[in-house]
Amino acid sequence: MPSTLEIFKAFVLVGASAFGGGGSAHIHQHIVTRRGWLSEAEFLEGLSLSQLLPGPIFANFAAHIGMHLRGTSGAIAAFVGVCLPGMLAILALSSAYFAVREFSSPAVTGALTGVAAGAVGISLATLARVAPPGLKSIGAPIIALAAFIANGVLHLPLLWVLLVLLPLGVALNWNVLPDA
Amino acid sequence: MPDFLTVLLEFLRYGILSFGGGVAMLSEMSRSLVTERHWLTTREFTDGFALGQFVPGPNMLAMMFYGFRVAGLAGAFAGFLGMFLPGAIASSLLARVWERLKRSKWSWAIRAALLPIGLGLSMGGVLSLTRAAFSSLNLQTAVIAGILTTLAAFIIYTKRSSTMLVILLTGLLGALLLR
Repeated sequence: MPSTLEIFKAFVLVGASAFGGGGSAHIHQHIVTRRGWLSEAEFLEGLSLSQLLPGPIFANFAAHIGMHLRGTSGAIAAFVGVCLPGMLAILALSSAYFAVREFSSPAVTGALTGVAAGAVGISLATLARVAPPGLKSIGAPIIALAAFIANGVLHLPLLWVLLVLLPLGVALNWNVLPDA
Repeated sequence: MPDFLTVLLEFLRYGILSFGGGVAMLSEMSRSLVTERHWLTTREFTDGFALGQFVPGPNMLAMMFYGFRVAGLAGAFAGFLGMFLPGAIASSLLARVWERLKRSKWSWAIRAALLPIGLGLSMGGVLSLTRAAFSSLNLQTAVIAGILTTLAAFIIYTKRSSTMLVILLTGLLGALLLR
């Protein structure tokens, strides 16, 4: 089993190399393929558990693996490690953004509009990727549509949406046997 | 200027409720941060999200940008802790007890219910992101921005290439075409 420091170093590398989305692919590369700290089955199970809980999946997954490898100290090392490089980068970018805006030019405004348009495209592509596995359970398309309309279109409070749809989904899937 | 605790509590709400990842919370965030509290402009909301795509690691580090705008460096850390800590703690605890919970019917039924809810919420998130990015544009710039959006979606969906490179490309094209 790796030491806390080894876990920290490995996850700093993951955090520094994982540019935008696809974080789990980088975790697989560094932790499963290169270091052999997890089996394929442990990797997949951990990934689905991290999606089950609230919060950014990438960071959840890192904390999960750290805990699995070396208890609480491992969880802290993996979580802090995976976030640290990006934290420093976003702090630098934030200060730069608010400094540049003071003397903004048409080119800067155009670049920011282009960047925002690109970000919409990226989230659309990601949505198209995650849709098929998210729609497999019973009643899933209706539940997904209801969540979209209630929160995204009508802007109803999220807690209410969860309080209605979660029991409904659980009831519909109560007698379904796990397929994995 | 709101203090650390106020910002922390606001982002803790997102951290606790963001089933399906951070994008699922974007609709709620824009309602609360932009419309209700006036902590951010619509422009800052979309720019911050885009910058989050640009840094390595979890793209929800955009929360640090929002926090930074609201309350400086302390706000940045409040945004980070609020969004990230609940999920990280819950994931660690679940990793510990999973071997025992694994066989229960409950855990599977809840998972089957949460996946489509997360998906629907993420669709709402993309909708508010789209609204925010396009609302201030005139017809001509909106068409060009729409082409950039389609281009980015196509590259990411078919090539699985780095989102940072795609964002750099659309930013560069924007600087040339959208001035």
